[in-house]
Amino acid sequence: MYGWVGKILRVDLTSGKVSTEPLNTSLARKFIGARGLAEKILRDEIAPDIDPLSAENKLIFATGPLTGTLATSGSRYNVVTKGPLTGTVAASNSGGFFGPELKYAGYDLVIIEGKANKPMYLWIYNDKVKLRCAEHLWGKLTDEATDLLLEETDPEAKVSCIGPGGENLVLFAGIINDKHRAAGRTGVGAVMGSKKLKAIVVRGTGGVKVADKDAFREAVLDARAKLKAHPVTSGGLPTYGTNVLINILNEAGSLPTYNFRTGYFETADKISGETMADTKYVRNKACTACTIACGQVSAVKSGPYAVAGEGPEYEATWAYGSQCGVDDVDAIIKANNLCDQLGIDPITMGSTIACAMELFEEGLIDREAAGLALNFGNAEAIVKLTEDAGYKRGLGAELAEGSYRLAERYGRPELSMSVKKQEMPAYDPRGIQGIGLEYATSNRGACHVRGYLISPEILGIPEKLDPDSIDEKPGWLKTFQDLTAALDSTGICLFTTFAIGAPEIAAMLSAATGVEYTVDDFMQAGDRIWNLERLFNLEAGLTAADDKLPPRMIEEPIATGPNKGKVSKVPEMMSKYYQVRGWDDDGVPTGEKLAELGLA
Amino acid sequence: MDKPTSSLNVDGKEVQVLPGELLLDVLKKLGVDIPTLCNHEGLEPVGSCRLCIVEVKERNRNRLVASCIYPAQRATEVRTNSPRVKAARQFLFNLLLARNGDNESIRQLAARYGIVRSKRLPVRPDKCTLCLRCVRACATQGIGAIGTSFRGRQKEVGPPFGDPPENCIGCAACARVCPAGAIEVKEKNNIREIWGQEFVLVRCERCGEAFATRKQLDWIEKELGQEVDKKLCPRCRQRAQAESMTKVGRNKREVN
Amino acid sequence: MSNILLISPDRCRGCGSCELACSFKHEGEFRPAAARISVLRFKAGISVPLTCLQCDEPYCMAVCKTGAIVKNEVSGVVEVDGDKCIGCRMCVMACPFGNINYSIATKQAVKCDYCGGEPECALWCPEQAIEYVPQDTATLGRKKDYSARFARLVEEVGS
Repeated sequence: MYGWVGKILRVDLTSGKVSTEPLNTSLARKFIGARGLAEKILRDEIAPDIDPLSAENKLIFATGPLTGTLATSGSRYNVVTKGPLTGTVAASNSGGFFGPELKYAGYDLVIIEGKANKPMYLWIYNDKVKLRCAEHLWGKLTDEATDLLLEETDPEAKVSCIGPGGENLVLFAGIINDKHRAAGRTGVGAVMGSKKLKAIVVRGTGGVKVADKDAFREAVLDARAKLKAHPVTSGGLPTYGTNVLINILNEAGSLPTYNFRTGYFETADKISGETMADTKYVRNKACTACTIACGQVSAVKSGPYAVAGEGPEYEATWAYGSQCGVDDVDAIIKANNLCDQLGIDPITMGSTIACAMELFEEGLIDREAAGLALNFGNAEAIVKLTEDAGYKRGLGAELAEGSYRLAERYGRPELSMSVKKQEMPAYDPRGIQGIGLEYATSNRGACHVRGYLISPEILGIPEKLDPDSIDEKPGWLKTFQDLTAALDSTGICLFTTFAIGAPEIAAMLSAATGVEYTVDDFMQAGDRIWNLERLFNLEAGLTAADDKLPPRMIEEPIATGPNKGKVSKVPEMMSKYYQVRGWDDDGVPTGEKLAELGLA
Repeated sequence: MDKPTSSLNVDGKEVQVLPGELLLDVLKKLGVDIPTLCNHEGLEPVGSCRLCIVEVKERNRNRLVASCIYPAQRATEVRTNSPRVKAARQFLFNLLLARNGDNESIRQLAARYGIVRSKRLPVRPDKCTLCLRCVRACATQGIGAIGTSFRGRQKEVGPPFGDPPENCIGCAACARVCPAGAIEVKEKNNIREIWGQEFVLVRCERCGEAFATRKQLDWIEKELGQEVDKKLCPRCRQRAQAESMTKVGRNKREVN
Repeated sequence: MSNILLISPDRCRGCGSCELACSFKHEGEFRPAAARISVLRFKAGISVPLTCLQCDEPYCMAVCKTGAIVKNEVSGVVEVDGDKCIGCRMCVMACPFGNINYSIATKQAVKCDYCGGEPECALWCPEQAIEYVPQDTATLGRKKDYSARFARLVEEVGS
């Protein structure tokens, strides 16, 4: 077996039974691996309408055929399950070293089923697999839990674990691997917590083979050269991290601010990548086989928010920063670090705090309930409320359900800046039309990394599109969504696509697996995965009515800045998007489309 | 000055050989497939298993020789797969299988040359093939803890008089070089047991791995005339090395 | 004049491309556990790639009695002839740096061989933290600088 290592590990937590099974190679060809393959298995094995936090749900850790190889930034794995925040299919993606190690241990996928009756962790040493008691680790922050696990297993093992957030079933809890890399969104950590699985620890001493060594070497060298030559992947990202986007988005008038009341933050530069590079970043840190090394080890050296860790990434900086009106970079770094420690998603956390701030300023949440004044701009609040949410203390218990359930509780669901109950990320869709359509149609709730149209609309990659135009956006979005679905399934990082595209990725994938993927095959696999996700969601009870942005995006123009006066035109684009996708007016894939994709 | 070469005909093909060159080495260079068991590149050849047998012509006389100990220049012609060679090889393999037929690696080697164990021959459950790799390995290291005792069918390998060998350092090279897996090494807690003797293993101060016998480390020290690290296992030595190098200041951005 | 492999840990970002490239070259698969170069990762994103230093007077060679380890005087590489290895593991224990291993699978000592003059780790390192450069005063000075740090540590450990 080439690219793939050919084996699935299945762990039933209810019975404690551990078994292995061969990878179904024809399915692997069709759905590639990671996101696509695990979603196919999920849809086949669970009823989409189950309660995500019940024992019936499954949690799949999935690598792709390029994970753990020299393929450009081939470090990724996906966690796939039915998400508790959205009720949709959830696929959350992370880098670091855990995914590759899983493959060196001999597994493409690990399927977790059932529910343990007390905290457990899974210890995988090649073909020796054990479920061990994790009672002594329950309640521990991810950093400490990781250190303890390495001590009691193998110092060279890799750990993927949940923190108190996942244990306490915070609906947007993530899974943290290698201490600071996160399968962050959609609440995959809560599913792990509901199963009482604290961690997976893996040590693998085997290898990953590729089918055509010379062709693979050529293809990777070619892709690497392109990454090294591109200003974003060789300059912007390594130097400033993803926070390079703060000033860019603010200048473009689309840095959502004060819970999306506006798209311009006066003091954005105080939280920008440039500022952080000067004062907070310590050094770069790469994931496996990555030439970009966008990861930033960072530190706040003194003061009330002193902390050492990694990040924040742009979306977290935004969520705690302009979205909450906070420009205290130390507090943002501290709050983000708490998210890593507690194992929760900083995008949803920050935006939920922003929603609470708006509810507070509207007089719906009082000071007593919050424990402090929740005005926009209160740096102390972002740190305190993050911790409260992780432990479900006081108002934190309400925040732990995300902004939609919070706002609904106070009778104002429209104040939640979410789609399908997941918070929109850091790009104002009123000033960037295509990304709005992406938020509305993303299969895991609002998301930027299912089809990152920011690349053409703001950065001009691969070509500059007018952010205000709408005509060409449905077509572009489909291409981006399909490409991303396929790429996520290979096991390489989305950031490579600033410099390389389907031809380079298909070349690496073909050489690695020995399965000939043309560019069309590769893009069609993405289309197939996208439609599979859509089918899952429809079966889970979602409808076209869920493909919509919060009313503020349509009805309230951006208040200030370069995009003052603009609203989102997503409703005008939707029918064309459905059409481009080969779906009917209700957003349901047609029989013809499904037949074409082999999904019928 | 070039050494005088002589011509040798190997299965109909003319090759040049150097003085002192052993026939097996010449045949290997030519890519001829010859079974071997006792032969090991790192050890003096002894020709004990004789599996590398070939037919040579020297001074118009044909004879069978063990190619691993036969000086190539002595012959004018070599046949590696003649009927005589095949018959002799079959005979040798049968003897080997009779003695060590339970041994999987020996059976596999024989099977590669199309020879399976004859059911008529009784089989002794002996693992040792008397190839003497272990004896030679130990001697090569200048230790010489093991040798052979008795003769004929009673011949066996081991420490003199069967007593635990005094000079053995427990390195277990004999076990690793054995083609038949005949030498037992047991490791339990802090003790390695081999040839009926127990050796204290040194545990790494950091990770706790039992990485070598104390006597092995003493031997190295004596050989080197230098102190050797008796505290850290190789892997932790590497980590310690890396740690010392982490005091390297900051990365590029901050240096510039 | 022969080249040397020069490692600058301050440039390393810990991606492990060197381990992957090394195992791909020597084992034909991506298998960091079998690589002849290792990236050791520490807190705060610090990481150090390490491999054989190709010593002038190698301890590994001094304790090898079968002639399986020899110093190639032209390339400077300390080479292992695996066929001659008897598995005594003396070389592994003698190396003060932990830079030579024994493979149970192939029954022989394994170590860095500069890939015969075109080291893959240097080729694939995205940060030039590993360079294959002519052995001149400048590069030797840098190499010595790192070795000196290590020598100090040896003293500390040894005392």
